[in-house]
Parts: sequence; C-alpha cells; structure tokens
Amino acid sequence: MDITSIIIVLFGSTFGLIIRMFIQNNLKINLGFNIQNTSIVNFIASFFLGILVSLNFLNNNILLLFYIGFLGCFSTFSSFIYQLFVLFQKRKFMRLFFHYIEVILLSFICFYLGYCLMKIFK
Amino acid sequence: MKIKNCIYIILACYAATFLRLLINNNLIVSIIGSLFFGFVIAKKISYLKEKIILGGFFSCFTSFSGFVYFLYKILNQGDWIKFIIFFNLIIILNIFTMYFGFWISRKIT
Repeated sequence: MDITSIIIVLFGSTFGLIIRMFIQNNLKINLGFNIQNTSIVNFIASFFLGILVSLNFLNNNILLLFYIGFLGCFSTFSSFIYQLFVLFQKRKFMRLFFHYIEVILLSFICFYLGYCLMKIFK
Repeated sequence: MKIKNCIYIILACYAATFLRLLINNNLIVSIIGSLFFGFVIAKKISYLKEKIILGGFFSCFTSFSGFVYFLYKILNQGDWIKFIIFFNLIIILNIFTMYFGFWISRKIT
C-alpha cells in the first residue's frame, strides 16, 4: 500500500469515526419504538453501502476512501453484537430474536433503498 | 471531550483500520473483535479507556457494512437458504464468542 492510499484510508476513517461518535452521543430518534443509536448508525451505513454498490466503483481510491475508510469506521458490528449480548445476558431471548431480525431487515431495506435510489438517478 | 483524548480515540481507530486491512477477512475480524470486546466489557475500566478501546478501536476494527456486503453477495447468487444460514450462524457465533471472552475475563480476574 502506497502513501496516497494510506492517507485516503486515514481521511475516510477519521470522518467515519467522528460522524459515528456524534450520532451515538447526540442523535435521539423516537419512531414510537425503541431504536438504539448504534442501530441508526448501521442503517445509515447500509444506505451508503447501497449507493456505493449501485455506483459500481472501479476506482480503487474511492473504494479505499468510502468502503474501507469511511464505512468501515462509521458502521460497527461489535456494538451490534454487544446489544444482542446484553439481551442474552438478561435472558430476554424473544427481544434478542426480534431485535436482530429487525436490525438485519431494516439494514437490507436501507441498503436496497440506497441501491434503487442511485439506479433511478443514474 | 479534551483534544488529547480525541487524538487517542483517533489513533486507536487508525490502528484498528490497518489491522482490519491486514487481516482482510470479515468473519475472522468479527470473531476476534467480539472475543476481545467481551474480554474488555467484563473489566471495570474508566470512561475514557472505554471510549478509546470500545468506541475507537473495536468499533472501527469490526465493520457492519462489510457484514451487509457479504450477505448481499450471497443474496445476489439467489441462494436464500445459504443467506439465512449464514446470517444466523455469524450472529450466533459472534454472541457466543463475546460470551466466551467475557467468561475468560471473569475467570482470570
């Protein structure tokens, strides 16, 4: 990996980290049911991933910036597993099941929303 | 948050990003991430350390978008059964790995 690629990855990851921290600490969305901030971050990341996949980038630098740098640091899998782990520890198995189905379903809806939206505008 | 603390979090994020790039396998990355995440949450650590290790390092090390993209590639092949098996297997495996890390940490201390 050359210096330019490293700088691009660092640039993307810094933005991803800062935006995630901001959303996790400040954004509170109430849709009538409980959506945690980590899930919101992952839904937004899925939406951006849909856009990225739809654009079908062949440019390696854009992939490094958005997919590896930005989305890699913006979305968080370990926090999602931690949410499930807390429910597992509390032995709330039904809530655990519904939460993970809900996150996977909504993530894919966001992904396809981004994907289809970009296909329309292209 | 102080500037110095922000720099620590960003440095942890950079280290995690390059480690993720080096391993270059989403499943292995997620399992390692879950194991050590479980290990860390079992310990009583300060707010700053929690932000650096969990928010900075492990959140950047593991990637939800990589997981979604992996599932999308399976779904694109039209194999629904494989898709359902994989996403359940990955999540269950990661929960138990995190539990294992948590359990080891409790046993050590």
